[in-house]
Amino acid sequence: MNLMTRLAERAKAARPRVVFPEGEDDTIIEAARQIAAAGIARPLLIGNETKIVARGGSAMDIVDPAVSPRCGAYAAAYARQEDFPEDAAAHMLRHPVNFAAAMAGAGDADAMVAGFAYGTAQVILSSRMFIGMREGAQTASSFFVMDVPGWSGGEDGLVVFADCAVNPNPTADELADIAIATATSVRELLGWDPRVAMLSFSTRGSSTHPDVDKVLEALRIVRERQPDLSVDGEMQADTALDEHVAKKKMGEAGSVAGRANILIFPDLDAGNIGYKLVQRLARAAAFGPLFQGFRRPVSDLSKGASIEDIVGATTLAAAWAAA
Amino acid sequence: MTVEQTTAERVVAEIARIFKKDASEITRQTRFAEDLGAKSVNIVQLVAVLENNFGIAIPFMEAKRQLTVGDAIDFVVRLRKA
Repeated sequence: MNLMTRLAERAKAARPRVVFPEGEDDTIIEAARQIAAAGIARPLLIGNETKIVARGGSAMDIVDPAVSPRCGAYAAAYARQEDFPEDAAAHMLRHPVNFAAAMAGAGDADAMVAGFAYGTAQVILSSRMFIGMREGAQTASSFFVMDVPGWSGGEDGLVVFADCAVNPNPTADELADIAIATATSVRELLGWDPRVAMLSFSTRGSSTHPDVDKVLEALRIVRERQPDLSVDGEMQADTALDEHVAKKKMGEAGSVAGRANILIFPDLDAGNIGYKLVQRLARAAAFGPLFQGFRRPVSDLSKGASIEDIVGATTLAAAWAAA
Repeated sequence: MTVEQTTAERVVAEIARIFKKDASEITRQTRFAEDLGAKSVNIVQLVAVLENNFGIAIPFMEAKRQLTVGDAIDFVVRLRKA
């Protein structure tokens, strides 16, 4: 059974509530209709009810921030939490992406799928403010699940890349956060035992540079915070993925080198270029990006997402919510 | 009071509240990033209180580009007068 089929089956067993802040959009409405029909999730569309019904969304739950009685409770909660004026909080919650995030934060939705109209930075900001960060998480980041045809490494051809979408130049602390969040995400969403490779252009001191020092410091922090996690570095990508190269470059490779199922890229240049190269040149499927670090799953959409892309992104978020 | 005076008073008061400073510590030269450690979340909050207070729309990306409290005051004055 392929990954998406497996995740869809898990989502169907729970049918979590997934909120769509861009609920008035025709493409979102059609994707939501297909998701509901397949039983993957229960879509909650944010927007004006008359508009959404006119566009074919009548069979789904519709919530309008302009008239919803929940707005007051969400505003009061935010005001209490942040020592912030309640009327200004209510003003912020008129924006659909803030309202949708507040629904997820309050447990009135189990996941959020956004980014079709809103930019990634806005989705992250709204999620940080109104869903909130998980305990112990400081850094919002993202991951992709790469499905590489004709490769049997990782987990039978699957490997997770992070962070390929959010943090341009993470500090050592932030990189450690990203590594720990990704390990948690992988356990929850995919059920794997994480084997985390902290990537660099250097392997075990083959080069010296402040960028290498950053990765080593991140590794030290990860080991301090999560001593039971299988994590190693710094290592180059071939060392992380190929057991022969790992033995040659690292001698006794340990539990990660040559067998990594999570690759942590040192910065966004490397991560974004890396996943796109694998996607284009190895014809890999890239599922995601899913944001991590928040208290609920949030799936990012590109502005050019097709209905199929949106259904896929929702399946990921719903499966994670159902975990 | 003039628009400039009421704007300055309100902007300074809200900045002091959001960044948990005494209003007397905030001047036109106070820099959001270097002096207040402002993050995007703080700017979103500031925009929300000022929009709600003055009944105007404040474009967020332009708000983020205001480097000092003085810049922010002048920016809001322009919006109020538009």
